[in-house]
Amino acid sequence: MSATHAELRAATDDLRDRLAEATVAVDGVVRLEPTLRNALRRLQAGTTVLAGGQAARSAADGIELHRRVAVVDVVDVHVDLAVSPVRPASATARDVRAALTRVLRESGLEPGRLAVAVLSVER
Amino acid sequence: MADDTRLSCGRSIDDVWSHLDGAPDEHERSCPYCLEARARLLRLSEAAVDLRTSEAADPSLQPDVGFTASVMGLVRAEVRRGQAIPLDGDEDPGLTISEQAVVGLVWAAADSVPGVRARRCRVRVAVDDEPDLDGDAARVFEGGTLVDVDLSIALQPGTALVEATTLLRGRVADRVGEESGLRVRRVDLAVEDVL
Repeated sequence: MSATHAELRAATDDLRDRLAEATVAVDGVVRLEPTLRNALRRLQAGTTVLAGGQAARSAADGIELHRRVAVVDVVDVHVDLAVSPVRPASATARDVRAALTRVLRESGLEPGRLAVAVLSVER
Repeated sequence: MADDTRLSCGRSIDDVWSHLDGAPDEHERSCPYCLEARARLLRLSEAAVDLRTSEAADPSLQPDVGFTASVMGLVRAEVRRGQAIPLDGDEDPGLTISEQAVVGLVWAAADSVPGVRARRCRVRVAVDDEPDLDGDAARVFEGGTLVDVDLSIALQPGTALVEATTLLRGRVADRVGEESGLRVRRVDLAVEDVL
């Protein structure tokens, strides 16, 4: 039986929060960085269910995800980061993508396009 | 050197915003950063006019001061961010760093060189097959995207030009490589002024 809109919304909110936690736990990540696009998406609080329950979109500070409902749901994630110069930004970004992949697979989901954007390097 | 409102050309976003209603000045007409900033700010201005029209009809739609300030902070950050540079070339698409973040590394490297003050800076992905000019393998970080840096500088009187610019090129390449993972192929310098 497919999930109701409310169940999909709650599950996607929870997934977004776990992906955000996994991101900020990566060595070299200072914080998730909010963007204007991100802020405008957040005006619509929580997760938005789209296409009659066939997809969901969710955003919080510095993270957006889009979930396509299928036999195994496919999830696209975009994170915006401020990083520390303790290691190359490229290494931090790769580790963030690996952390996102791990959380999605542990949740029984298929990683889609995982985009990691470093917006600033802070000392 | 770090200034949250400065574009890569050195001009403040607030300066661009302050005369958005008029024609671009001489600098703006030839500056790609200011032209891009003006285009983005004009779109924002048009959206703001629409919102003001709505607010006039219904005052309850007016946002509070804190919300307005936070949105304006994001707008300034967004406008100056520049292009997204791929971190790993074609090997791992989707991992990027903002041009402004790399410019910040270049400025920090330049400020560490005695007698040098950095001014305008541009960082671009290298698009041709021109070889590294100094061939210094120690500055090559495997896997990173190749970039070219254009930097204008001012020098303090008495600064030895050749020594300072050699040191500067090395420090820019090292810092950008170590802290971003990008590989600097070339640093083109222009001495604009004496302090």
